[in-house]
Amino acid sequence: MIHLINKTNRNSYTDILSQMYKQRTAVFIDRLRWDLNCEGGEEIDQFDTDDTIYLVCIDDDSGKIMSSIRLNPTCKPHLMSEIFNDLCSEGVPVGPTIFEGSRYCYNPELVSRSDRLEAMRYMICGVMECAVMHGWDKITFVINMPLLAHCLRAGWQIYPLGIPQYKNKLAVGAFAIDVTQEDLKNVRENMGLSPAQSILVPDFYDVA
Amino acid sequence: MSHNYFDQVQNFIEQSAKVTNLVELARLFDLTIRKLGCTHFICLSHVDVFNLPDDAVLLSNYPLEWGLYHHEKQYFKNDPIMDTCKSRITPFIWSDPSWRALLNFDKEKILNEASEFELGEGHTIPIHSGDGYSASCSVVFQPGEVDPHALMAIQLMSVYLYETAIKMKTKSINQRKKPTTRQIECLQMIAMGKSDWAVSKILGISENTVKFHVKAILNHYKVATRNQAVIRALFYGDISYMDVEVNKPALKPEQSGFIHLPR
Repeated sequence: MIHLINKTNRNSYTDILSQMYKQRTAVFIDRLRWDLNCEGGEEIDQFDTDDTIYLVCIDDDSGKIMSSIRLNPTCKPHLMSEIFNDLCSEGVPVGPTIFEGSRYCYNPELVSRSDRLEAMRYMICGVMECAVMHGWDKITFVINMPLLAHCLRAGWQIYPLGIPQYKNKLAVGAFAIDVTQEDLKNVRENMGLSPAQSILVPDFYDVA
Repeated sequence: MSHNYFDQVQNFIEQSAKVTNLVELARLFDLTIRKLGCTHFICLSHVDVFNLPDDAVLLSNYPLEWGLYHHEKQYFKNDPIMDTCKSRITPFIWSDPSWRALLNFDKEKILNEASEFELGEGHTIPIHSGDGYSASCSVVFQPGEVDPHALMAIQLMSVYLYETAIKMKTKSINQRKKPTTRQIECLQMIAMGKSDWAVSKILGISENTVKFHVKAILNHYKVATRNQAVIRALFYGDISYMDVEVNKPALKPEQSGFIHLPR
């Protein structure tokens, strides 16, 4: 199930967070060769802040992280505003009900394509549910083009904020989704879940 | 200038959400890329297109003579563009020498023949979004006639084109049912070469139950033999090559051939 980690419960998730930073190192630095900072095997940057919310999908049996994503408030400096603002043709969308998703990371031990797709679609449901619960109305992302097709396939009504540009060989673009109850239903349906089936851990709502 | 391209992209996405059939969708894309200087396009799942499965699409305004010739010569088995897209996620230009250098004589010949049908220079975007086929979207133009920024806009629209088309063709593509966990376990062992008897001993079930599971798997993939089922399962990613190859009984370190340096 998917756990929400924010500043109020961070202390009880130190091991999980450490596992997540290590997975990020394995995926973004070792595999994708992104030029990122890494200390003690953990990839952490200036946008892993006190305000950051992490969604982490943990396998109930093994305790291993299957996938994770980072969500940052757009009122404060974030990836799109600080590093990729040239990707938005009409300015970076910011506001108290807009959050940015970044560092989507799957467990590097997932080898089959269908397992990776499933982990991603599952997380997409989690992000939508988290957004509806918080009353956010938009989520923004900087993503590469191959990932865009997956987001569309999962049933997300994701739309571009500008023309993508080449950064390190891959075309990267700024995108956003509007958060609606209807979209939550759609992504759940695509995942084979029933329209009202929550995949967040029960105390998720208390923490948030 | 690029601002104008973005307007066209937004317009295309907006309009494509409204069209009601694949012909309208293809016309809309055709119209959009012509404004950007392209002459032809093809957006397709990589299958034998004259025998199109339910969950595959082909939208194109390529000269039909080329399509028929391509099919007659069975070029889809060796098509340089489809072949490249299987293992590549970044777009490429057909005249790019570093790409051309990778092609053998037969593939080069296909490209040369295509240029006789006014399909000489183009830009291809590989698309890998599904559980099954790889796909691509190519646009064709006169050399130097299209601005690189426009190609970026086309790259963006191509993804929307393919996903919209697939969604229109079959709403149930994501609802493809997976075999059950037990069925997958059986199939993995069959792929490893185990007999029904061996599978039954490993899983602690009767041989008849194994046969029952196998029959259900054949039914599931609508195939007649176990070999076909294994291939389907690999194709859909229900079992992975790693599961089949790695899950062998562990050998003693000295037999396994791996290098381990004691500290």
